[in-house]
Amino acid sequence: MTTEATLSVQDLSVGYTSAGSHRLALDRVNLEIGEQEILGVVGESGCGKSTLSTAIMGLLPPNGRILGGRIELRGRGDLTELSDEAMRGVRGSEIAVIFQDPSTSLNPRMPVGAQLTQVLGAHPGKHGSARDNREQVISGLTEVGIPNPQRALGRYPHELSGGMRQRVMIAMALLLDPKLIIADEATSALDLTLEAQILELLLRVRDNHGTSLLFISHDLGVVSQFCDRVAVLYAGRVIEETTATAVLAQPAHPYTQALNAAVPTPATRGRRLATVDGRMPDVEQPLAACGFAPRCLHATELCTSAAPELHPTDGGTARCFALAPENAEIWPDPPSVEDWRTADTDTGQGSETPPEKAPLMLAEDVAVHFGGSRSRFVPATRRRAPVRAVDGVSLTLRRGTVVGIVGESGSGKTTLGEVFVKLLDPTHGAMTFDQTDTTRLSTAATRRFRRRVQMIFQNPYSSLSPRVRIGEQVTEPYRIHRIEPENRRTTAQLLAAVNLPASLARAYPAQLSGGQARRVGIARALACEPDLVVADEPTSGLDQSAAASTINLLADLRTNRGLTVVLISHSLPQVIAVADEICVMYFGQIVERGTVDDLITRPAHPYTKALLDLVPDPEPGARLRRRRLLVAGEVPSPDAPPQGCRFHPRCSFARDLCRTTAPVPTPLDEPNGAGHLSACHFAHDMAAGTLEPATN
Amino acid sequence: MIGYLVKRLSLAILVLLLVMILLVLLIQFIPGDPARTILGNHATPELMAQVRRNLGLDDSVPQQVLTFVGDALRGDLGQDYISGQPVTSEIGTALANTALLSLASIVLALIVGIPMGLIAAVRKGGIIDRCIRAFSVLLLSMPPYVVALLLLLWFAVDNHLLPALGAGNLADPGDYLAHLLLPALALAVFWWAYLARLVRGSLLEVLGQPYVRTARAYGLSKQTTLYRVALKNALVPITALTGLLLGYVLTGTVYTEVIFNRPGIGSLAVSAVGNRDWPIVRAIVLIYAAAFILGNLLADLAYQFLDPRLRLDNRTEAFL
Amino acid sequence: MAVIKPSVARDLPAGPGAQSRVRELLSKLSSRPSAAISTAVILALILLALLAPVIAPYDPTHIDVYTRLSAPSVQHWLGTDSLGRDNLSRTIYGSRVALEIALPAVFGAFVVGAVLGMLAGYLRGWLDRVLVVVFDTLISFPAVILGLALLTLLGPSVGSVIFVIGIALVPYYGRLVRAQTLAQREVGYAKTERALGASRRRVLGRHLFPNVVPELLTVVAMDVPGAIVDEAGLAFLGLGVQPPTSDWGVMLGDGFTNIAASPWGVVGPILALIVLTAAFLVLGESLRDTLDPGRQGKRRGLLSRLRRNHR
Repeated sequence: MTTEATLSVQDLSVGYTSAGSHRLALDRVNLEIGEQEILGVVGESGCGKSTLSTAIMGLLPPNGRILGGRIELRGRGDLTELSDEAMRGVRGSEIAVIFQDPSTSLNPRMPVGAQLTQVLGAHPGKHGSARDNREQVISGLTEVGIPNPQRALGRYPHELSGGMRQRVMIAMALLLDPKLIIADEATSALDLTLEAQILELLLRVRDNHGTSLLFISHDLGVVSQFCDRVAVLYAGRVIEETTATAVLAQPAHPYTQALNAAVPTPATRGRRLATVDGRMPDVEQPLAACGFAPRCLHATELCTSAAPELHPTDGGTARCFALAPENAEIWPDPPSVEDWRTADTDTGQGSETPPEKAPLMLAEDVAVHFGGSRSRFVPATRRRAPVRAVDGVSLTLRRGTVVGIVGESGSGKTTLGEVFVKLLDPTHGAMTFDQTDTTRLSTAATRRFRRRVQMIFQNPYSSLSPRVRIGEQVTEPYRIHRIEPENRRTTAQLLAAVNLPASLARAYPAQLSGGQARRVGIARALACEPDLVVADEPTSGLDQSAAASTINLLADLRTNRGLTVVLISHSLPQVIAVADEICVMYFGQIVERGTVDDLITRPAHPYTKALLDLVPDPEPGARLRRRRLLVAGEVPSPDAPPQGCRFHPRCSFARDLCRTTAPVPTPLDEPNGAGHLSACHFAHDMAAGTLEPATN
Repeated sequence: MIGYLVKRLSLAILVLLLVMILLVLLIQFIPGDPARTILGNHATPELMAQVRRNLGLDDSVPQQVLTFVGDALRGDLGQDYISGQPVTSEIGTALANTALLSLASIVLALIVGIPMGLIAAVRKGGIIDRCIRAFSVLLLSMPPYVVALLLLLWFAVDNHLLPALGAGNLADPGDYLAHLLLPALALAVFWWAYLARLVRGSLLEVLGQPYVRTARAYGLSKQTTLYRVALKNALVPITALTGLLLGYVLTGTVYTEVIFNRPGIGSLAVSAVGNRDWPIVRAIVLIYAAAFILGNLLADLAYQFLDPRLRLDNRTEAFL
Repeated sequence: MAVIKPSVARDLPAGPGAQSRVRELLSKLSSRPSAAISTAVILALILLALLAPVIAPYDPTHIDVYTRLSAPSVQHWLGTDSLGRDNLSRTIYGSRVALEIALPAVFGAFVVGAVLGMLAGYLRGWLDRVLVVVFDTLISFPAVILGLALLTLLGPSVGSVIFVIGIALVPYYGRLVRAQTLAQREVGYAKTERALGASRRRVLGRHLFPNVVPELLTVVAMDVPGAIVDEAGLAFLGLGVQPPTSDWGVMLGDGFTNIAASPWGVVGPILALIVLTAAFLVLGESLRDTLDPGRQGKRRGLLSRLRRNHR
């Protein structure tokens, strides 16, 4: 790297005091970011990564204090020594931050242009006349790819789409040409395709401005694909520092390995995901032990008797005794990612070809439209078009399979899930469950239907009644359906089925962790032994380990009980890990459907291909930035669907045909591609990989 | 915005109409002869006949409603059957006095209450904050008539510091203002405490918002962040509550006018109740209700206007 | 030296549920001195009202023209009024009238408002629209203003004062319960229940009632001092309870008339009103902080106070 680092953090310790208790958020952290370098800092919530960014900016809350260490910014010396006023001059002009949620990080009651100008005004040395300022703001907005920047100046944040808002934040960061930009979970709130666009933009910014980047994220995959080097934070300490390729390909620290093993990838599909017991500890003072030891597979007495030093690894350094040459007798083989994957690896995925299984539920040309004026008194020309949340979906769910439904926000996947469980009836189309039409059920028949079809909702806490004990909630379906006592299972049995202790029965929802609350929801859904379970984003809000065990649980239910599962998710890798069949949804329609193998090896729709390209790949050299099929723009407004193929405005393969004619799902006549459908005019060429991107 | 304006305006008009209808029907709801209901048991037959004529009680009920609403819209609120004068002329100056009192107390409430809240929030946890909090419990616990009585006792009976009785002479602004001060103060102190708490809470909430952090992270000074970013955002939701401030003040005028012996519609109404002068009472109640409806309408519209997220419901389409 | 906290379930506020919730609440409240003091004050007041004949030193209607408008003395701690009646005894008896009027007014209004609000929120449609407009119309009359109109026609009596104060509260409760009913339909667990096969009636019965009504009742209880303030205000104006009843408002009126001669007539009722309102205010705040530390609570508490006081 370069001789002088842009930012160098030395032995930084930060503590918080509240109501007499003390917490050490950062413990002797050392980091160095070279010129034009992108350093990733990765860790779970509570590891101290947000404290790091606030400490660098000098914006710790009143109860937070820097206990020791230095923060050296090139040309400015130690930031911890600067006066308030001098530090104010650094903020925004030499170091800029991009925060996680652009919808709350911008002032909701001030036009975007004024907010940017205000930043210029805060740094008198760096701005000129009002006219110059305007020019500077406009050129900033242009650079980050905001169309029609003059018009954008007068817009309020809520009038911009999520992606545009984050671009405005980046424009603000660039305004005064800082040396360092801190991206604090800057893409975590965005959909995959938008995240890719923003990362691309950040790379361009780095190249054009020579800015260094500190990229803070909880997502190991994204960090490894985007950054040059990566530091892994655990309980306030840097436990591993290595190159971005090594962090996925050969992580050295057991914790980094465990994180890796919990992330589903196409390469590890069909295998159970790794889970780590326990939680990250809250640290009060510097640990005289390895903070990860209580959860580590390899831990010995040595690990709890002293704090490990940094030891060199293939890509950098890691804080683990097992890597010290002198400890080779205790750990003959260095820890590896494989250690975390249990022996019982098969998830039962695709053990039988899905088409051979009997259909359980059939959706034919199902559509759900919301709103729109239906009144007969409104003239047809003035009627507002309804929002077509789901528009013409046909799908077969076969017994004992896991069907994954993947899509970004606005794809209609949750609405479709609610149709499956009859929380919504389709506007048109037919739904058949076990040979009965579910749209025309009597009250009694609906009740019987609800016994056999269950849904697991997205938010684990809000789907539990806050004032009722867990035990009572889990058995509630028995009372609703008046099931005879001899056919009931006990609360303990129900909880045990989802690996929860019976003691939890007396707890209230607020006392559970996110993963536990999620399992309670699953236990309740399973109480009446349903045939079909629809799980809507079952891992949202969970950390990686809890997410992995939830996914494992769903796989087990399919294998052990023959349950049919619909897994709704925004994450393609997660679905790939467990599903037999995958449907990719875009803008209310299924754009591609097929077995996992079909989709991975022969994606026949550009959208699927783009999503697959965004899946982190541990192969060295497969870095995101080097090969990339970008999806342009954002999902259009739901009441104004594009003409022709709905995906064409964002598709890099779009031709004239796509702009005029909507494609119909076509089967691909592959040797074993029965059931592989793609709604693309050029499906065969896509699948064969022979289609060239459009030139215009 | 236009859509909301139309909707909100038509609701206000509908409610005002219903208020008028209700005021006409009120007499009918009560069993017995309406004229006797109004005049009580000791009324002479002549007086009862006069009241019947005056209020058109011999007409059919829908006719009465139509007459009253139609007259009210033309600015005719009926006739005082004691003096024989049109009600509007009886009310005229009294209404001006009450309106000025309401306005003065609202201004007084705002110019003291908001800074109090601001200081409390900035000095959160400090001595000033605690004093304001403790003091506000006391102020919030005092009904308006209690405050008025205490002020009367302290400033007028004991010390003769300020004139306590009457409205003063409108031709002499100094005298008029001196007479206005105590009654306006009596209605404002509750809102000092109330606004102080509201502004403090709202401001602290806003100060915890990510966009305030953004402002600081981009080098805006603490002062700029507080006034230009946080305070603006904190005051917007409070505008929605000013309609309620008005409701409190309107009720309070009745008490303060009686206690400070101010000629206003509140004190006029109280004495009219004593005289069973229904046309006057009815007109004043209508004025109060209309003022309340109008105040809430304005508060709602102001809130809509000040919050851009609500303002633009017609062009919120995501723009690319 | 190493301090690692064991990875146990987070130390979250215990889930609220049936009896343990009440116990929990009580133990938390008792740890706040302000809550304990305010509860004691409110209980003392109720006791005062119940035991007035035992506690009061004099018969509140006993006239003694030789000691008219006297200042406080050993015999008459708060002095005497224009007819020589003992101010302290009248203040003590006044708490009876206050509660006699405020309690039926507030809780009667809550029952009516809750029924109407639930009907509106549950059935929706035209009934909902009509009720919303009716609520809006009634809300346009602050209680005292409504009192001006109604009491002119009804004539002053305990019953009509209860009616006036109650009817002014009905639209607030109606709106509150309607909003809660609508909100309950949309909460996550209500949806879950439906997916489990529970009927809508079961959802409302199981969630609306147990989750919402107890909390609303605490809000409603906090409206009692407001109703007392209104009652006394109406009596002060001569529109409510009439002399010679021992009522705080009546006393204020009498004291006000003779204020130049003796200020002592107003002291008793003023202190009573302030102490009572402050006690409810402090208790209400403690309850809110205990029940709902964080979000929402703040706003609801403030609004309820606003509602009460703007009348």
